[in-house]
Amino acid sequence: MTIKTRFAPLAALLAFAAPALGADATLKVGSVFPMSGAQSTYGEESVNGIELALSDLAASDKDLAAKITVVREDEKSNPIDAATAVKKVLNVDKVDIVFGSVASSNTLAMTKAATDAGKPLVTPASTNPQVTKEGDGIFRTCFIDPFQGSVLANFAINNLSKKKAAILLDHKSDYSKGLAQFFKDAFTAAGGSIVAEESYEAGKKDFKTQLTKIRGKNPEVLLIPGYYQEVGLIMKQAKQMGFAVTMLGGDGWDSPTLYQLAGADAVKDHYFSSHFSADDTDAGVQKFVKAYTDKYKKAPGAMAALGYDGILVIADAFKRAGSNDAAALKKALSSTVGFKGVSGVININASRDAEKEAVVLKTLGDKAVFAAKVAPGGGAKKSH
Amino acid sequence: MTEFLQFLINGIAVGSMYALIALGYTMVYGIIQLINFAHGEFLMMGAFGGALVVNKMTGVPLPVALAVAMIAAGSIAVLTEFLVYRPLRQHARIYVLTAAIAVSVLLQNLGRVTFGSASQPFPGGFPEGSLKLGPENATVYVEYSQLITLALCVGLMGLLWVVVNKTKIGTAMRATSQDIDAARLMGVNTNFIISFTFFIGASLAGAVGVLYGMQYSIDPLMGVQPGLVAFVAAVLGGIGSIPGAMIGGLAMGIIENLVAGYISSTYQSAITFVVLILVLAVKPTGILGRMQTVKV
Repeated sequence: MTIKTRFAPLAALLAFAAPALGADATLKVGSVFPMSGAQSTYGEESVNGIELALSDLAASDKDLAAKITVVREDEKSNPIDAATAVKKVLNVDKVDIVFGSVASSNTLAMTKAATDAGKPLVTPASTNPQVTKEGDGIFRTCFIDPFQGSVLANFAINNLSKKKAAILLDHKSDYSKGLAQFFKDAFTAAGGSIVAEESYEAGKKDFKTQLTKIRGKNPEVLLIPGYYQEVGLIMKQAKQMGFAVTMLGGDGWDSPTLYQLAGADAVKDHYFSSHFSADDTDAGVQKFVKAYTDKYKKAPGAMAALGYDGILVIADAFKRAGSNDAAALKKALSSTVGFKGVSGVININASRDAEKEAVVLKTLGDKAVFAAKVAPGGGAKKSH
Repeated sequence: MTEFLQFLINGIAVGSMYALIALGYTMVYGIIQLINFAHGEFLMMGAFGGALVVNKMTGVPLPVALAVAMIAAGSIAVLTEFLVYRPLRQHARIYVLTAAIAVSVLLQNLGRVTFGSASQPFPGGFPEGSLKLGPENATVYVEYSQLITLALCVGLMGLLWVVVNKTKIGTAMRATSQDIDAARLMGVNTNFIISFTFFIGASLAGAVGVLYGMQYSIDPLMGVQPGLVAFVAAVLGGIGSIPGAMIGGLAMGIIENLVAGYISSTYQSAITFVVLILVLAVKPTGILGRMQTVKV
C-alpha cells in the first residue's frame, strides 16, 4: 500500500518546483517506514519528522529542497513486508537512496536489496550494531545500542559523582550485554569500579537473590540494561527489600508500563538514556518541538526527531555530493561531520554509525524528564 | 549466614509456588500418564481470570480472586481434556503429548489476542513491606507477599491431601491411578475421575497464577517459565507422586536461588535442566517415584 496521497500538498509543491531546476541533479529518496501494524506510531512520527524537515528545508534552502522528492512505502511492521517495500522503491520507483526503517530487524531485511541495487541506505533509528555491518552503503544517523553504556558511565561519574557501580543484566540479550560492556569499559576507565555483576533471563520474574547479592556489595549505582518488563519488577522488588540505590538504564526502560509494574514510589530518581527529549532546553530543540507541536498537535517523540535529522543528513550529503550518483552519495554521507540536528550533533564514523550525544532522563514516579545531555566520551572509540 | 538465610527464604517462597504447579503435572501423569505441557497455560488463564474479576469489581478480596482463578483454570482444563485429550486417549501416548504442546501454543496465542502481549501489573496486589528478622546489620527480610504465598500454598496442599486421602472421590482417584481398567470394573466412573483430576490440578495452577501475578506481573507467556521448572520439580520428586511434587517444587526453588546466590545468577535458569538431566541419568523415578516401565 502506498501512502503518497497523504502527502499530496508536499508532493504538489515538489512537482511544481522540480522541473524548473533540471532533472539531472535531483535526488529521489525511497522512504520505508511502518505505517500500519504494531510499530505504526513510530512510523507516523518518523514520517511527520521527515515532512517537517522538508518544509523547514524549503524555507532555508529552497533550491535544495526543490531537488529532493520522497517516495513513501509502508513496511507494515514486519520484515517480510519491509523487504517487499524496499524492492518496490528500488526497482519500480528507481530511487537513488533508501531511508528507513525503525525496528532493526526490519531494516536488516532491507539492507540486502539496497546493497544488491548498489544504492545507499540510511536508517534514522535502527540501533542494533549489526545493521551497518551489512554493507558499505548502509548508514545510520542514530547511535548504536551499546553506546548508551558509555553515556551512562560518564553520566554516573561526572553528573552523579558515583564511583561504585553494580550491574544486573539480561544475559541472553545482546542489547543488554553490549550496553553493560560499554558501561564497564567507560566506568572503569574514568576511575570507577564495578563491585558486582549479576544477571537474569528475560521471562524470569523473581530477582530477589540477585538483589540480595548486589546489596551486600554496597554499590552507589545499579545499571540495569534491560527492558521495562523486567526492570519494572526489579525496581519493585528492590523497594520491597528496602534496597535504595540509584538505578541506570538505556532506552529499553522507555515505556509507561515501567511505572505501572514498579509502582510510583519505586521509580523515583532513577536515570535512563535516550535519543531525544522534548523538554530539552536547547534552543534548537525547543524550536523543533514548537514547530512540530503546532503542526501535528502533539509533542514529538524520539522517532520524530530522528526522522527529521536523518532526512536532513541525506539532503546535506546530496548537496555536498552535487549528484545523485551512489558512490558520490556514500562518500558524502561518510564524511558527515558536525551536522547540527535536533537530536544532537551528528558525526558519521568509520563504521558508518553516528557518533552523537545522548540525553539522560530522570524518572519521577509516573514519567521521565530531561536531566542532562552527554557527549560521546571514552566508549565511542570502541565502535570503530 | 544472613545471605544464606535470605536465599533460602526466597527459595522457599518461590518453591512453594513451583510445588503447587508441579502437583498438577504429577496428578495428571499419575492418572493417565500424560505430561500435560499446557499446564503452565492453565496458570496464565487463572491469573487473567482473577485479574478480570478484580478489575470489574472494586474491592474484591483475595480469596474471591483466588476462587475465580481456580474455577477458571479448572474449567479450561476440563474443557481441554474433554475436547482434545479424551478423543485421543485410545491412541498411542505420543498423540496426546503432541496435542498438549499444541494446546499450550494455542492458549498462549489466545491469551495474546484477548489480553494483549504486554506485561501488566496484577490489579490490587499484596500489601507492601516486609518482616525484618535479626539484628540491624544482618537483617533477613521476609516480605508479606512471601508469607501470604507460603501460607496459601501450604493450605492448598493440605486441602489436596485431605481430598486425595480422606474422601470417596480421592479413593476413586487413587484407584484409577493404580489401574484404570480395574477401577472401571469396580464401578468407578473413570472419565469423571480424569476430568476431576484435571480440574483439581489446573485449579491449583490457577491459584498460583494469582499469587504469581500479584507478586510480579501477568502476561500471556507467564506460565511458560514456572511451568517448565515445575515440570522438572515433578520429575525430581518422582512423577506421579503427590508428596514428591511438593518436595520437588520446594527443592527447585531452593536450588535455583542457592545457585544464583553462590555460583552465578547466569546459571539460575540453566540449573533447572541440569537437575532434569541428572535425575534422568541417576534416578529416573525421582525421589519418591514408583518403579515402573514408562513409555512416552
